[in-house]
Amino acid sequence: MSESIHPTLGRAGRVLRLVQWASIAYVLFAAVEIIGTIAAAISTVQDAADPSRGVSFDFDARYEVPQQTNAEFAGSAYVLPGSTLIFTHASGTVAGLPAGAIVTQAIAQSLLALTGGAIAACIAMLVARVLVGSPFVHAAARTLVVLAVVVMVGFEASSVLAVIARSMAGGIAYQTGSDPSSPSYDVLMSGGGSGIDIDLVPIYVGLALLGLAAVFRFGTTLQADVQRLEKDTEGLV
Amino acid sequence: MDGDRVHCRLDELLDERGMTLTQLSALAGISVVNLSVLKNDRARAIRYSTLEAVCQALDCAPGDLLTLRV
Repeated sequence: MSESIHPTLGRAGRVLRLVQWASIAYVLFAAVEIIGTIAAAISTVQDAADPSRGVSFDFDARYEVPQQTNAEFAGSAYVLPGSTLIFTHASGTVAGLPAGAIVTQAIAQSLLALTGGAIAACIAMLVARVLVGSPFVHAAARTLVVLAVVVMVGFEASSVLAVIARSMAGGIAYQTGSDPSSPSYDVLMSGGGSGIDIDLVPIYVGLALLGLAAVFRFGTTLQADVQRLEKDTEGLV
Repeated sequence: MDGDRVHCRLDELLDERGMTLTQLSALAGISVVNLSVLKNDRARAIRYSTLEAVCQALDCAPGDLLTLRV
Protein backbone atom coordinates (compact mmCIF):
# COMPACT_ATOMS: atom_id res chain seq x y z
CA MET A 1 0.00 0.00 0.00
CA SER A 2 2.94 2.29 0.61
CA GLU A 3 4.42 1.69 -2.85
CA SER A 4 4.88 4.83 -4.87
CA ILE A 5 2.74 5.34 -7.95
CA HIS A 6 4.48 4.54 -11.26
CA PRO A 7 5.47 7.93 -12.71
CA THR A 8 3.88 7.36 -16.14
CA LEU A 9 0.40 6.85 -14.64
CA GLY A 10 -0.07 10.56 -13.87
CA ARG A 11 -3.61 11.50 -12.83
CA ALA A 12 -4.81 7.93 -13.49
CA GLY A 13 -2.48 6.84 -10.69
CA ARG A 14 -4.29 9.06 -8.18
CA VAL A 15 -7.66 7.69 -9.30
CA LEU A 16 -6.36 4.14 -8.95
CA ARG A 17 -5.00 4.90 -5.48
CA LEU A 18 -8.49 6.13 -4.53
CA VAL A 19 -10.02 2.93 -5.92
CA GLN A 20 -7.51 0.91 -3.92
CA TRP A 21 -8.39 2.66 -0.66
CA ALA A 22 -12.13 2.35 -1.39
CA SER A 23 -11.74 -1.36 -2.10
CA ILE A 24 -9.88 -1.98 1.14
CA ALA A 25 -12.49 0.01 3.05
CA TYR A 26 -15.24 -2.08 1.44
CA VAL A 27 -13.49 -5.32 2.42
CA LEU A 28 -13.53 -4.15 6.06
CA PHE A 29 -17.18 -3.08 5.71
CA ALA A 30 -18.10 -6.50 4.28
CA ALA A 31 -16.31 -8.24 7.16
CA VAL A 32 -18.29 -6.17 9.68
CA GLU A 33 -21.50 -6.89 7.74
CA ILE A 34 -20.87 -10.65 7.81
CA ILE A 35 -20.20 -10.61 11.55
CA GLY A 36 -23.34 -8.53 12.07
CA THR A 37 -25.46 -10.89 9.94
CA ILE A 38 -24.25 -13.94 11.86
CA ALA A 39 -24.85 -12.23 15.21
CA ALA A 40 -28.33 -11.15 14.10
CA ALA A 41 -29.11 -14.68 12.93
CA ILE A 42 -28.13 -16.15 16.31
CA SER A 43 -30.34 -13.61 18.06
CA THR A 44 -33.16 -14.22 15.56
CA VAL A 45 -33.06 -18.00 16.06
CA GLN A 46 -33.39 -17.42 19.81
CA ASP A 47 -36.33 -15.02 19.26
CA ALA A 48 -37.98 -17.46 16.86
CA ALA A 49 -38.20 -20.00 19.64
CA ASP A 50 -40.48 -17.55 21.52
CA PRO A 51 -43.94 -17.61 19.80
CA SER A 52 -44.94 -14.27 21.32
CA ARG A 53 -42.05 -12.33 19.83
CA GLY A 54 -41.55 -13.30 16.20
CA VAL A 55 -38.72 -12.23 13.90
CA SER A 56 -38.38 -9.85 10.97
CA PHE A 57 -38.75 -11.87 7.78
CA ASP A 58 -39.27 -11.17 4.08
CA PHE A 59 -41.50 -13.52 2.12
CA ASP A 60 -43.44 -13.81 -1.10
CA ALA A 61 -47.14 -13.13 -0.56
CA ARG A 62 -49.65 -12.79 -3.34
CA TYR A 63 -52.49 -10.48 -2.38
CA GLU A 64 -54.88 -9.12 -5.00
CA VAL A 65 -56.72 -5.80 -4.59
CA PRO A 66 -59.32 -5.17 -7.32
CA GLN A 67 -59.42 -1.45 -8.16
CA GLN A 68 -62.76 0.37 -8.20
CA THR A 69 -63.95 1.33 -11.69
CA ASN A 70 -65.17 4.80 -10.74
CA ALA A 71 -61.99 6.02 -9.00
CA GLU A 72 -60.49 9.25 -10.30
CA PHE A 73 -56.87 10.38 -9.96
CA ALA A 74 -54.91 13.47 -10.89
CA GLY A 75 -51.39 14.71 -10.65
CA SER A 76 -49.45 11.44 -10.76
CA ALA A 77 -49.31 8.03 -12.40
CA TYR A 78 -52.09 5.73 -11.19
CA VAL A 79 -53.21 2.13 -11.26
CA LEU A 80 -55.89 1.79 -13.88
CA PRO A 81 -59.38 1.80 -12.35
CA GLY A 82 -61.07 -1.55 -12.90
CA SER A 83 -57.77 -3.46 -13.04
CA THR A 84 -56.36 -5.62 -10.23
CA LEU A 85 -53.41 -4.54 -8.11
CA ILE A 86 -51.29 -7.49 -6.99
CA PHE A 87 -48.92 -7.37 -4.02
CA THR A 88 -46.17 -9.96 -4.43
CA HIS A 89 -43.79 -9.40 -1.56
CA ALA A 90 -44.23 -8.76 2.14
CA SER A 91 -42.07 -7.92 5.11
CA GLY A 92 -43.28 -8.46 8.65
CA THR A 93 -42.68 -9.86 12.10
CA VAL A 94 -43.26 -13.59 11.75
CA ALA A 95 -43.62 -16.14 14.55
CA GLY A 96 -43.23 -19.91 14.31
CA LEU A 97 -40.52 -19.86 11.65
CA PRO A 98 -38.32 -22.94 11.52
CA ALA A 99 -34.73 -22.25 12.60
CA GLY A 100 -33.45 -23.76 9.36
CA ALA A 101 -35.16 -21.02 7.32
CA ILE A 102 -33.61 -18.28 9.46
CA VAL A 103 -30.14 -19.82 9.31
CA THR A 104 -30.37 -20.36 5.54
CA GLN A 105 -31.48 -16.78 4.99
CA ALA A 106 -28.57 -15.57 7.15
CA ILE A 107 -26.14 -17.69 5.12
CA ALA A 108 -27.57 -16.21 1.91
CA GLN A 109 -27.08 -12.66 3.22
CA SER A 110 -23.59 -13.46 4.51
CA LEU A 111 -22.67 -15.01 1.16
CA LEU A 112 -23.77 -11.82 -0.61
CA ALA A 113 -21.60 -9.72 1.71
CA LEU A 114 -18.70 -12.17 1.33
CA THR A 115 -19.01 -11.97 -2.47
CA GLY A 116 -18.87 -8.18 -2.33
CA GLY A 117 -15.85 -8.29 -0.04
CA ALA A 118 -14.03 -10.82 -2.24
CA ILE A 119 -14.67 -8.66 -5.33
CA ALA A 120 -13.25 -5.63 -3.51
CA ALA A 121 -10.18 -7.62 -2.42
CA CYS A 122 -9.51 -8.77 -6.00
CA ILE A 123 -9.88 -5.21 -7.31
CA ALA A 124 -7.46 -3.95 -4.63
CA MET A 125 -4.86 -6.55 -5.67
CA LEU A 126 -5.21 -5.74 -9.38
CA VAL A 127 -4.93 -1.99 -8.74
CA ALA A 128 -1.81 -2.56 -6.62
CA ARG A 129 -0.14 -4.27 -9.60
CA VAL A 130 -1.03 -1.41 -11.93
CA LEU A 131 0.22 1.21 -9.46
CA VAL A 132 3.72 -0.30 -9.40
CA GLY A 133 3.75 -0.34 -13.21
CA SER A 134 3.59 -4.08 -13.87
CA PRO A 135 -0.04 -5.01 -14.53
CA PHE A 136 0.71 -7.85 -16.92
CA VAL A 137 1.91 -10.57 -14.58
CA HIS A 138 0.58 -14.10 -14.09
CA ALA A 139 -0.80 -13.16 -10.66
CA ALA A 140 -3.10 -10.57 -12.26
CA ALA A 141 -4.56 -13.12 -14.69
CA ARG A 142 -5.08 -15.57 -11.82
CA THR A 143 -6.79 -12.85 -9.74
CA LEU A 144 -9.20 -12.17 -12.61
CA VAL A 145 -10.06 -15.88 -12.86
CA VAL A 146 -10.76 -15.96 -9.10
CA LEU A 147 -12.88 -12.80 -9.49
CA ALA A 148 -14.88 -14.43 -12.31
CA VAL A 149 -15.61 -17.52 -10.19
CA VAL A 150 -16.52 -15.38 -7.14
CA VAL A 151 -18.98 -13.29 -9.19
CA MET A 152 -20.64 -16.26 -10.89
CA VAL A 153 -20.87 -18.54 -7.87
CA GLY A 154 -21.35 -15.95 -5.12
CA PHE A 155 -24.36 -14.11 -6.51
CA GLU A 156 -26.11 -17.20 -7.87
CA ALA A 157 -25.57 -19.22 -4.68
CA SER A 158 -26.89 -16.34 -2.59
CA SER A 159 -30.07 -16.16 -4.73
CA VAL A 160 -30.56 -19.92 -4.56
CA LEU A 161 -30.13 -19.99 -0.77
CA ALA A 162 -32.59 -17.09 -0.36
CA VAL A 163 -35.21 -19.05 -2.31
CA ILE A 164 -34.46 -22.19 -0.29
CA ALA A 165 -34.90 -20.16 2.92
CA ARG A 166 -38.31 -18.96 1.79
CA SER A 167 -39.23 -22.49 0.80
CA MET A 168 -38.15 -23.84 4.20
CA ALA A 169 -40.32 -21.19 5.88
CA GLY A 170 -43.33 -22.85 4.30
CA GLY A 171 -46.65 -21.07 4.09
CA ILE A 172 -47.06 -17.99 6.32
CA ALA A 173 -50.58 -17.01 7.34
CA TYR A 174 -51.46 -13.30 7.37
CA GLN A 175 -54.53 -11.05 7.56
CA THR A 176 -55.47 -8.69 4.72
CA GLY A 177 -56.87 -6.07 7.08
CA SER A 178 -57.31 -5.24 10.75
CA ASP A 179 -61.15 -5.27 10.78
CA PRO A 180 -62.66 -8.75 10.51
CA SER A 181 -66.07 -7.22 9.83
CA SER A 182 -64.82 -5.46 6.69
CA PRO A 183 -65.81 -7.15 3.40
CA SER A 184 -62.17 -7.10 2.23
CA TYR A 185 -60.89 -8.90 5.36
CA ASP A 186 -59.45 -12.32 4.75
CA VAL A 187 -56.79 -14.65 6.07
CA LEU A 188 -54.43 -15.80 3.35
CA MET A 189 -51.46 -18.14 3.24
CA SER A 190 -48.32 -17.24 1.35
CA GLY A 191 -46.82 -19.80 -1.00
CA GLY A 192 -43.94 -21.94 0.28
CA GLY A 193 -41.50 -20.20 -2.02
CA SER A 194 -41.31 -19.55 -5.73
CA GLY A 195 -39.10 -21.36 -8.21
CA ILE A 196 -35.46 -20.38 -8.53
CA ASP A 197 -34.82 -17.58 -11.05
CA ILE A 198 -31.33 -17.75 -12.49
CA ASP A 199 -30.04 -14.21 -12.98
CA LEU A 200 -27.92 -14.21 -16.14
CA VAL A 201 -26.07 -10.97 -15.37
CA PRO A 202 -23.54 -12.43 -12.87
CA ILE A 203 -22.91 -15.33 -15.25
CA TYR A 204 -22.24 -12.98 -18.15
CA VAL A 205 -20.04 -10.70 -16.02
CA GLY A 206 -18.10 -13.77 -14.84
CA LEU A 207 -17.57 -14.91 -18.43
CA ALA A 208 -16.47 -11.40 -19.40
CA LEU A 209 -13.93 -11.46 -16.56
CA LEU A 210 -12.63 -14.81 -17.81
CA GLY A 211 -12.14 -13.17 -21.21
CA LEU A 212 -10.29 -10.30 -19.53
CA ALA A 213 -8.09 -12.85 -17.72
CA ALA A 214 -7.19 -14.33 -21.13
CA VAL A 215 -6.29 -10.82 -22.37
CA PHE A 216 -4.06 -10.27 -19.33
CA ARG A 217 -2.40 -13.65 -19.88
CA PHE A 218 -1.66 -12.63 -23.48
CA GLY A 219 -0.36 -9.29 -22.24
CA THR A 220 1.94 -11.11 -19.80
CA THR A 221 3.41 -13.16 -22.65
CA LEU A 222 3.91 -10.05 -24.81
CA GLN A 223 5.52 -8.16 -21.94
CA ALA A 224 7.91 -11.06 -21.30
CA ASP A 225 8.85 -11.04 -25.01
CA VAL A 226 9.50 -7.29 -24.90
CA GLN A 227 11.63 -7.60 -21.77
CA ARG A 228 13.62 -10.43 -23.38
CA LEU A 229 14.15 -8.28 -26.51
CA GLU A 230 15.24 -5.31 -24.39
CA LYS A 231 17.71 -7.51 -22.55
CA ASP A 232 19.06 -8.94 -25.81
CA THR A 233 19.47 -5.50 -27.39
CA GLU A 234 20.79 -3.68 -24.34
CA GLY A 235 23.83 -1.67 -25.40
CA LEU A 236 23.12 -2.26 -29.12
CA VAL A 237 24.69 0.27 -31.49
CA MET B 1 29.83 -15.98 -22.89
CA ASP B 2 28.64 -12.38 -22.70
CA GLY B 3 31.03 -10.58 -25.09
CA ASP B 4 33.27 -9.05 -22.42
CA ARG B 5 36.43 -10.12 -24.28
CA VAL B 6 35.50 -8.38 -27.54
CA HIS B 7 37.56 -5.19 -27.87
CA CYS B 8 36.85 -2.36 -30.32
CA ARG B 9 40.00 -0.79 -31.76
CA LEU B 10 38.24 2.39 -32.87
CA ASP B 11 40.63 4.60 -30.91
CA GLU B 12 43.69 3.09 -32.59
CA LEU B 13 42.15 3.23 -36.08
CA LEU B 14 41.10 6.88 -35.67
CA ASP B 15 44.64 7.77 -34.45
CA GLU B 16 46.20 6.02 -37.45
CA ARG B 17 44.02 8.00 -39.82
CA GLY B 18 44.24 11.29 -37.94
CA MET B 19 40.45 11.36 -37.74
CA THR B 20 38.21 12.57 -34.91
CA LEU B 21 35.07 10.87 -33.66
CA THR B 22 32.97 13.76 -35.01
CA GLN B 23 34.48 13.38 -38.49
CA LEU B 24 33.85 9.63 -38.43
CA SER B 25 30.24 10.29 -37.32
CA ALA B 26 29.69 12.59 -40.32
CA LEU B 27 31.30 10.09 -42.73
CA ALA B 28 29.58 6.96 -41.44
CA GLY B 29 26.21 8.46 -40.53
CA ILE B 30 26.41 7.01 -37.00
CA SER B 31 25.76 9.27 -33.99
CA VAL B 32 28.71 10.39 -31.90
CA VAL B 33 27.00 8.85 -28.86
CA ASN B 34 26.90 5.39 -30.44
CA LEU B 35 30.48 5.69 -31.70
CA SER B 36 31.55 6.65 -28.19
CA VAL B 37 29.79 3.59 -26.78
CA LEU B 38 31.69 1.45 -29.32
CA LYS B 39 35.01 3.17 -28.64
CA ASN B 40 34.79 2.62 -24.88
CA ASP B 41 33.83 -1.07 -25.18
CA ARG B 42 30.43 -0.38 -23.63
CA ALA B 43 28.50 -1.83 -26.59
CA ARG B 44 26.99 -5.26 -26.03
CA ALA B 45 25.85 -5.80 -29.62
CA ILE B 46 26.43 -4.18 -33.00
CA ARG B 47 24.18 -4.15 -36.07
CA TYR B 48 25.71 -5.33 -39.33
CA SER B 49 24.68 -1.99 -40.88
CA THR B 50 26.67 -0.10 -38.22
CA LEU B 51 29.70 -2.38 -38.66
CA GLU B 52 29.54 -1.94 -42.44
CA ALA B 53 29.23 1.87 -42.22
CA VAL B 54 32.17 2.24 -39.79
CA CYS B 55 34.43 -0.12 -41.75
CA GLN B 56 33.61 1.65 -45.00
CA ALA B 57 34.36 5.06 -43.45
CA LEU B 58 37.66 3.83 -41.98
CA ASP B 59 38.48 1.69 -45.01
CA CYS B 60 39.19 -1.37 -42.87
CA ALA B 61 37.89 -4.91 -42.34
CA PRO B 62 35.64 -5.95 -39.43
CA GLY B 63 38.54 -7.94 -38.03
CA ASP B 64 40.63 -4.76 -37.88
CA LEU B 65 37.91 -3.01 -35.88
CA LEU B 66 36.92 -5.82 -33.48
CA THR B 67 39.39 -8.17 -31.76
CA LEU B 68 39.21 -10.74 -29.01
CA ARG B 69 41.21 -10.06 -25.85
CA VAL B 70 43.07 -13.05 -24.48
